[in-house]
Amino acid sequence: MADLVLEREVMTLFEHLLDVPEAERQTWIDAQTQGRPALRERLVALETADRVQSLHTGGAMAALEQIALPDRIGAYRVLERLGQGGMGAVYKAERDAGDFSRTVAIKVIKPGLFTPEVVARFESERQTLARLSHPNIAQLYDGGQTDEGSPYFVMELVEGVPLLQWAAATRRSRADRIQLFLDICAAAAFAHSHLVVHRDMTPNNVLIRNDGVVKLIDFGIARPADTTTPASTEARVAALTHTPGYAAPEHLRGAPVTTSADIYSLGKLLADLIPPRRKDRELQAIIARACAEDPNARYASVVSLSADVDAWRGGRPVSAYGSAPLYAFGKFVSRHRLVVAGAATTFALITAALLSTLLANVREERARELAEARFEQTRAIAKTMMFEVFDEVSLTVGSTNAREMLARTSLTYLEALAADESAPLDVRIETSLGFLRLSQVVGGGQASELGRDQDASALLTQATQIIEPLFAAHPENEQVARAMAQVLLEQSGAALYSANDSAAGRAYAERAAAAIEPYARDDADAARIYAVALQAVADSFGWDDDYANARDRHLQAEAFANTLSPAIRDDVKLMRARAANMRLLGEAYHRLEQEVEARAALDQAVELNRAVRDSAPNNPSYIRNFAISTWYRAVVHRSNDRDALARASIEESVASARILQARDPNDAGAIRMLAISNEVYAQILADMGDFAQSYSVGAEVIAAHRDLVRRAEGAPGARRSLAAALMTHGGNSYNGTQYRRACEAWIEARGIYRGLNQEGALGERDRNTSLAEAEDFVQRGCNPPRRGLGGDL
Amino acid sequence: MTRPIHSPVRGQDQLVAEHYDEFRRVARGVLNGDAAALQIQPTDLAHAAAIKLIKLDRIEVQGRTHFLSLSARIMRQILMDEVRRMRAEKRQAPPVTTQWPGEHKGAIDLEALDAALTKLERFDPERARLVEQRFYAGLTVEEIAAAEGVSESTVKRQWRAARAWLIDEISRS
Repeated sequence: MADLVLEREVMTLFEHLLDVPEAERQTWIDAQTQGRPALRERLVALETADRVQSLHTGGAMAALEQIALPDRIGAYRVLERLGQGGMGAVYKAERDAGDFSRTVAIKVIKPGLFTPEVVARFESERQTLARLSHPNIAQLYDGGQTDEGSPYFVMELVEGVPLLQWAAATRRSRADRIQLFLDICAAAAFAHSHLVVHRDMTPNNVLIRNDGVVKLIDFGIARPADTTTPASTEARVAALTHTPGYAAPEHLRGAPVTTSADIYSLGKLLADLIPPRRKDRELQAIIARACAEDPNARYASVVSLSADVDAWRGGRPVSAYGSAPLYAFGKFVSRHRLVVAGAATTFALITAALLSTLLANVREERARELAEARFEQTRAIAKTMMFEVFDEVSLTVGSTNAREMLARTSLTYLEALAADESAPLDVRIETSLGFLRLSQVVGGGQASELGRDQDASALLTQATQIIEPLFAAHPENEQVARAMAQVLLEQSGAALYSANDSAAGRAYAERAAAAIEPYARDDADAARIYAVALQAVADSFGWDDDYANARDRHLQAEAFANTLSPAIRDDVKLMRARAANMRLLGEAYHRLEQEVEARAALDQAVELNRAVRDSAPNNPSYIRNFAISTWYRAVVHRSNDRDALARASIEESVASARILQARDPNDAGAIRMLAISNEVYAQILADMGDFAQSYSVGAEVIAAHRDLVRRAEGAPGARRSLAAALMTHGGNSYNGTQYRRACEAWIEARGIYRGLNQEGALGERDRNTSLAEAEDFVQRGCNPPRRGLGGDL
Repeated sequence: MTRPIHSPVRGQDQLVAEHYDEFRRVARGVLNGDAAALQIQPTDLAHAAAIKLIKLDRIEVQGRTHFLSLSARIMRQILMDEVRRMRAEKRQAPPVTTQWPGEHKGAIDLEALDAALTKLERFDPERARLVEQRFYAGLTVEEIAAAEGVSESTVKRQWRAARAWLIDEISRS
């Protein structure tokens, strides 16, 4: 960059400028930049940017991009701006080619909004779109790119009002509205028959001209999915909640858009245009079917949707009605077993069926006489879904998508429940626990499953907001207290492990322990909550590096477990809690250099995890816990020179990691777990002089890292890990006098570090230690490969 | 530790250092008996606060300032790796955005920010480091001032300049 010097100067000047009073700035700038227009231009640009940002507005970028009205676009003369939005601007323009003139609308897309691929797609589709000639579709005439590279579309100018405005402003009869909807359907069906999908059929894209003719605009040029989803926090939560919009759910998820997405949007338009009355069961069924969560559950075509609407208008039987699973809940419980046994796709169908039930439920809300019964249904579904189905689906390999969908669907149910604040106490408790459960399912807290911490945190807040006032009002109510303790415990986990706030984590854990304490010995659930709360208190000390206190509190948690009746103590739930507690106790002892006690505690942790794993040999998290606890024990053994014990422990870890990886060969987490276990294994083998086996394990580690690099498409982090593994592998080889092999590994590692360094992707520490070490080892030991480092590494 | 400091034991130290926090999180995740995923998935910048977990004595660096900028740098790398991975996996994934620290409106595309920051680094590594510390280590102006041993007003002025430069840069690209 040639103007680095200039930029540096601008920056310094700008900082001085900030101290200059507003009124004197202009003079100051003039004086400082005299005779240097480039410097002046840059300084003013920064000042403008600063001004915009100091407005604290989300429109900062928009304000910067205020575009002047262009004179011409392509062959058209611009008359006026009709509108401006996030996507770009729409102009009214005309073409004066001799005696013939045509007034058109031109939509100019903001530069950079579309990727080159999308622009290219438009180029190739423009012919198709131009042939899309239908009385209810605004004709596309032309298109191209402005000099600035913004794509534009020249379209038939439609002067009219958007659908909802039309519907609100005119007292049109139902018959008129139905006819209008059928006209919209006819246009959509025509486009679909030409293989064109609208993608963004909102009421604003349906205009009604003054003469009453309906026109669909922006056919086929709607914005691509990646610009429709604002990625703010609220929006991510909103996308999860599926606030009823017009875009089909799969569209929001970024799945390829098909005609089915338009059918979904049409269903939404229908509901807006002709709000179903209580007795319109058929109409409700039509809408529910068009708007089914699963594309496969919707109408197969626009033609069949309009046929149903037409049948409804004529009082004939409607195909959607009767097939709608409004009363099919009874079948659900028996069917959901099938889902668990079957593949995720089957599962999606069932979910869709459930969602239509819900939609039907929600729409029928006004039907007082049925409301109560539906509420019960919704409640039962939410509960079954979140607790039973989810747990079982989690056991199915590769079920991430299914779990995502479950989470989303469950939320819809929960929100329906939460909306009723006057619901009975037990329902409120259940709703709070539902949010808690969902939070655990989607987020990071304690049982990270889908890894969306932000959503999880929002859900946890919802759980808290419901249960806290209840606990304040009914502190003596056992169910309320239990729910409160669980929510507090999750808050504690979030504070400790996500927010790194040990003080808050401890406070939550102490409150959780106090809430559950009266019931702590009654059953395994309460005992687990109490034990985990004690453990969280202990761990909060560990977080502060106060290992003496941590140790004492972990011992207290174990002491509590030992006073329980054997039936409760040996329950799997409690064993898992105890295993985690013993592992942490072992860590505390290790930190305090009480190695004998550390060893005993870690052994106990491993044995508890082993028992848990054996209780359900197919549960991946049990296997993973076992692999981690044996890995950790091996690391501690090794640092105390207990080679044989280290080896035995790491071999168990490796074996478990292999099982995990075999379960799901695409699970990058399992590949990494195996690589990490194996890396320690290779070191232990080398420690013990078993170099041949160490090399072969080392080679496997390297291969795994290469695989991870490939999966991560060469991401710097993965390459760095590969380089680190190569350094270790080289070290093991060197100690085994395999100098050539050592050098091969080191030279490759050095190449990776150098490459990362050139890309600016190497941290300072890596540069100063890892890269420097690689350079040093190669320099001293590899020219030629020899024992050049002076003894063992 | 009784072993000599060099590889392969060195390798182990390095391994533990590199994976320690990841493992620690996972290990702590079993608090409830449930294992967490092994992948780091910082879906939100707030989680950059986790960087503070790395305690000074566990990492060979000189001085707190150095440590803080190193942490922010590592966090930025991890985060961008994750973002790119996510976007590579899902072609239509929406851009990942964040907000200016201390503000509650507006959204910045993380990738655009990263690219702009890389440019800023070329001529002004000091301001770039400040931005990293605010965005990726979640440090406040006060914390940075204390760590760097300069006045808060200096940090504020530098921050404002860096921010203006980045906004200008992002709006240009």
